[in-house]
Amino acid sequence: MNKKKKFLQSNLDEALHQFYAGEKSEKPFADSLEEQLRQHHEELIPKDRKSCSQLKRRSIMNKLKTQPVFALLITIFAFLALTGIVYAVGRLTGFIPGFGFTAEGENVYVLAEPAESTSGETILQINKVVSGDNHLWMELTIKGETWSEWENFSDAFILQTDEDPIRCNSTSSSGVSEDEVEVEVNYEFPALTDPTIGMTLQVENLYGQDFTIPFTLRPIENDEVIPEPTEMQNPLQSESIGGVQLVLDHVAVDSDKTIFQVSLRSDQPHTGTQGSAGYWSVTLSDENGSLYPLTDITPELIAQGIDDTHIYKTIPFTGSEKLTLKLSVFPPTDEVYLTKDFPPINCPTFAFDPGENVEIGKTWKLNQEITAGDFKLKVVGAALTDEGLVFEIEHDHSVSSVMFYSSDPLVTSAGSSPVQSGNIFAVINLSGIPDQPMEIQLMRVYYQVKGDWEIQWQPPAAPEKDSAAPSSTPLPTLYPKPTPTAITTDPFLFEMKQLADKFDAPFQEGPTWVHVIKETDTEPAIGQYYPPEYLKNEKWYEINAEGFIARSVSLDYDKDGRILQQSGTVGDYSVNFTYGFSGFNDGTLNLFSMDTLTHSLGSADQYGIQVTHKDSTCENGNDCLLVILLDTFESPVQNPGEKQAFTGSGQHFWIDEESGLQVKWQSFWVLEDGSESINSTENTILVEKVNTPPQSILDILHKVIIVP
Amino acid sequence: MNEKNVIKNEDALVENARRDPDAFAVLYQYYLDPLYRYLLQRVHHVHDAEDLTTRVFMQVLEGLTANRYQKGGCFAAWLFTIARRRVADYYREHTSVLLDDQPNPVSDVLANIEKKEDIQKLTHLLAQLGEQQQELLRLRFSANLSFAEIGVLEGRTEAAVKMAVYRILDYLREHWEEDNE
Repeated sequence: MNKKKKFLQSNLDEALHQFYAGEKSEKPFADSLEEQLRQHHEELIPKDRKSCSQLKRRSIMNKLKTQPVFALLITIFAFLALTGIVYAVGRLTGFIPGFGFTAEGENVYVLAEPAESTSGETILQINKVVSGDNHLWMELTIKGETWSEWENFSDAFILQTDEDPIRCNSTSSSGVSEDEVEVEVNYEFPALTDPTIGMTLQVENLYGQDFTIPFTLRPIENDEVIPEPTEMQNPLQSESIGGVQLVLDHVAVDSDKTIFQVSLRSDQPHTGTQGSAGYWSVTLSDENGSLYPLTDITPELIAQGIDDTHIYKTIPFTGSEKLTLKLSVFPPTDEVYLTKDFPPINCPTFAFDPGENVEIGKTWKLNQEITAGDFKLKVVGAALTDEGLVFEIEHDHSVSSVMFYSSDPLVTSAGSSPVQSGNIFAVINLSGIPDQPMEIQLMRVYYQVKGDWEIQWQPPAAPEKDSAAPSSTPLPTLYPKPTPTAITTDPFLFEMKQLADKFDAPFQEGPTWVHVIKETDTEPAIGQYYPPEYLKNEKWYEINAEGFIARSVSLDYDKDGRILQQSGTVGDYSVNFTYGFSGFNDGTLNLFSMDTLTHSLGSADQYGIQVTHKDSTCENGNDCLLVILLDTFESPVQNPGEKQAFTGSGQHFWIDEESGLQVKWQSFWVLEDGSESINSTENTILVEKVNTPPQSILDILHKVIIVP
Repeated sequence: MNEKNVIKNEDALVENARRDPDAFAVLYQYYLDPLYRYLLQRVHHVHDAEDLTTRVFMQVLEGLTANRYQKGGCFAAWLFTIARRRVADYYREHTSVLLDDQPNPVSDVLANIEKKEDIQKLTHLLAQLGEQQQELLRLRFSANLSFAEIGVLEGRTEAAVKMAVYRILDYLREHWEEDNE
């Protein structure tokens, strides 16, 4: 496999992972359902049938949890006495790449020396092991053949004398480099009872092969941890809004970077953050509004277990900066989505009496008020449907849905619905017609809280003198992206390229600025929340004397003119100011161009895409050429929830024949009946040259701070 | 990436789970995310996926306590058979599905521009697969089922499932690379 293919393969694997396995259930939901199941289980089985052995096992497990610290201290001191080596045992807080932050006073062990095993021509090597009080993390590389990281279906165990095998909790893998046939594999295990004795890693079915590798651990040394400054060992917290705080948990500083961990925490019992409506991040700015670049380095295996924590890397600081960490939620909103659970022991309840002659379709007026903490709800009625009992509830503005439950034997499950026509609905599923009064319990309230979660923070100084003050907008050395010559022998493609070049040419005469505005209307798919139905994108390009883009600013607006996200690019370095993401691109400068058609035309043959064109009229009355690209599927695709199957997909491009501007673009599905279903329409509203952009745009660019 | 968190002695655990809430909790914790991911892939709606997850686990619990699960059977296949039935019920009940305020597996990724392009490309490729092929990928990668478990669920041999999945992956690889050349 050549370099390019391997690189591309890695992208496919990551996309597959993100698409299929990127989601986890929210912890509050998982906890609540487990509690609900336990309660229901208790009701389903008589008490005298419960397992004694399981209760005994649990009791032993609870006891063991309290003992390892003492046992570890004894073994560590014994080890030190034997070896005479002085290690930094005890209070060791800081950041360990791949492992995360250590807890205060956590006993940490690392791999004593690399270990490896060979099977045929395949070598599996243990590179890193970090064993803490709560888990053990391990990084290995496998070399020898060509593998897809996606096809790692391995299982791993740690074997220690007189101990049961410890099975790994999770595994992940990723391609290491384009040059070598090498895949990095990570395993995470539960904590070891005794990390000081020798152990063996047993790996099963790693690309069809088994490995056994003995290895030993030693206490970590000071210089192996990026230390957490003493003054930062107390978390900084934002104001609590609705019971939720943004917390700066940990900070570690090195001469070339600052690493910090932030989390969203509930300061009220049984309150969950629901991941703040999906994605949350932070921005880090100074008194002048300059935004610092952040790279999310949350270890993958740790991120799987902690929903509301991120670890970021940024530049080193002098110690005099006055910074603000601010929560940002995607899509932009000043609200976070929360859940409040009510444990069965003291949850709000009301009695529901179905009365007599109950049948599907029967309705009840209830007007039952429920006070649950700060929430005031009123159950106005109920109806019996095929699904079960559906309760209609008037609610506070902040409440988006609720979940009811009942211990009545008829109840099989419970659910909630989002707001419909002003009220919310809670469903209790039944296995039969209710004929006895039942107690209805309020289990959970979903609600939103508005606010700005901010932490004022004076960061610790980097340890060495080369701590760099942030430098504004330095332009790295970049090379222009080569422009293709003699692109095609296809006369139509050649004509389209000439038209596109005709439009682009005057805008490539720099130095100058180009201002572009586009509007996009999208038909949202089921469950899609971004992009919104209407999106306006405004771009400002600074064009250098050679016609290449030196700097640019991009702003997305919603239909009310509110900025959804803004980003700035200086040379090859981009920062998303709304969410804090930053990084370098492909190391080249790009020529300014409004052409998106010829690339698609150039690859149409390869994909068997049919290209047709016809005369049309632009919306401004000019003559337009409509180019249609149509990809017909081998067999129709029926997506769940869609009324018709798709038989193909396509794109429309409208080109102003006079100016050469591609004024409008559409993507569409072709349905079974031959009609087209438009997904997205993009109109170019404005392309203009200006001498100078507004000061606000220059201000954005001045905020771009590049990682040294 | 493929999460592995294998249960030891699943048969014994399932047997214990009939009467022991702790044993059932182990099964629940093991299968919760695979089941939830699978359901989310099917209904694209967080609230509905949560509701379906609740229904499926409640039915599994009731089935176990009522001895409706045959000892020595394939628990994962039984669980996902129930899940598929609930999804079928869901689409019978929902002629139109509300747009949710919650994330979906694709949209979450849209925050990252590069990943967005990859996901869009993948979505486009997946749209060219038949429903049966998409279901195999969901069972393999969202539900994290083994080829043998999918075989029981689909009424096919393990080898046939494995071959079918690898063919689909080969197809995706081939077209993914083509799209970038």
